[in-house]
Amino acid sequence: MISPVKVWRRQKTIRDLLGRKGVILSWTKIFTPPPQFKHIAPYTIVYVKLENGQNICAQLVDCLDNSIVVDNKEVVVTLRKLRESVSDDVIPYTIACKLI
Amino acid sequence: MRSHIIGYHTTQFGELWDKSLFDLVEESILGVLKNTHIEFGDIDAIFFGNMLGGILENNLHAGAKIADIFGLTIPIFRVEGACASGGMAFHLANEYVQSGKGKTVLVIGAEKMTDVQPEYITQGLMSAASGEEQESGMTFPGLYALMARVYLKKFGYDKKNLAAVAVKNHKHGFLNPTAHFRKIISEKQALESSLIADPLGLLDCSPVSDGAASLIITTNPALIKRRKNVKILSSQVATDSISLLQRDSLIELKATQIAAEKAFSESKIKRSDISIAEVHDCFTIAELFAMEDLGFWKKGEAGRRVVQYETLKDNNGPLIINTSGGLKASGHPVGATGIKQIGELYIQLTNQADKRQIKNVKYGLAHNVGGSGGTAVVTIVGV
Repeated sequence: MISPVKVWRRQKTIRDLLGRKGVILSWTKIFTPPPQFKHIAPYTIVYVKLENGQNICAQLVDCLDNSIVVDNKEVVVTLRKLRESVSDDVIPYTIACKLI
Repeated sequence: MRSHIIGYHTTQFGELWDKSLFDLVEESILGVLKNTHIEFGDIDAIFFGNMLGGILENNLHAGAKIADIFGLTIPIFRVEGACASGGMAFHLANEYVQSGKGKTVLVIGAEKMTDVQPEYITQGLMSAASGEEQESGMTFPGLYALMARVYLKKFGYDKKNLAAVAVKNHKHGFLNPTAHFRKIISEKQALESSLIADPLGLLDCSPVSDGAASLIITTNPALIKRRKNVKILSSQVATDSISLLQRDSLIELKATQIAAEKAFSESKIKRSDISIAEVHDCFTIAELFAMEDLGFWKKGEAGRRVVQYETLKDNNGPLIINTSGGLKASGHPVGATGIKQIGELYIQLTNQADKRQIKNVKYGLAHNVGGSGGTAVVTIVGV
């Protein structure tokens, strides 16, 4: 269950990641998503090592041609609304990655 | 006194639409009591491995539910460790009798998964992953796909090196009357199956299944004496980070390595003594990791050796893997899987495996994994 308070608490921590750069270590394309992501499937998720050594996984956005997704490509962290909202109408923004 | 397994029962695994979670629990508990000619009066406690009852069915407090079904007042414990819930329940049941708290316990694993649409199963299973992974839209096939891509690239393999696992395990599952899928598949079918999480296709993935499996563990010499039995030589649990993001390596499961080392050390047997193993092939790549992390094969060798079908029953090699069909063909009702794995070893070691019987089996190993490797249970049994 995702409550508005949980979304608010989480969004305080993800702002530190915005604008950080990193490289793709691995990636996958999801064809069987959880229900909150069904409307955007299939979508690509990248496993990225950021410059500070931290690993993240996030959806790759603004990339219509998945054939250009390869390991070691550089990405930058951005903010997106990807999940469908819950009934409380809190918009759950989350991190995503864009190819540089 | 060492613990012994003296009986096993499993329900059919599959899409069992006419049965609820607790119908399956009841069927399997009554089945194992009947198989062993034991009554509830001999049972000191019950351990119940289950992952999704609370999430999918709003069904917790399972101990009291089981007590309700059978009119019991003995201790009943529900154990949850994601897909390792069954293995964890077995481990705790063994610890219970080894501590002297009781002499004879029943351990059951069960899961009811096919009542809801697949995306809700995907969501429920993801409760066993980190919050960061969940909010990215990740799935378990996706997590193993990330690992598979790194492994295949590092060692120069391709999807054929994964497909061989599915082909082998379906061949074994064909011989198992309680398997979810009793259907032989070709390498071509495996390679051409629709993508679930690139590079993993449908036939790289274990299915969503219903099922229940039970064992009876005892230290009571009178109960052991007149029944087919195997000794529990070691049951070890190890943990690691819940998230792939915290791992140093994406091509190995540290929890498996640690649990295996401890289990071989405690049981004082060598890897070459093991002639059958049930390993956690939730995805084809997971069997490759299992073979390497359990120490049977060196890191990077599995991709090459699986395409030679060394561990296929028909090839009569020194180590046969997943005679039940594994999670891939036998099915993966998550809470039941860890119990079914050990039950398969019991059947093989007591020569009750019929068409899939492996000859002269003395030692077997079961390997049950929770999540993307956050929990691993390794059990070694012998006769």
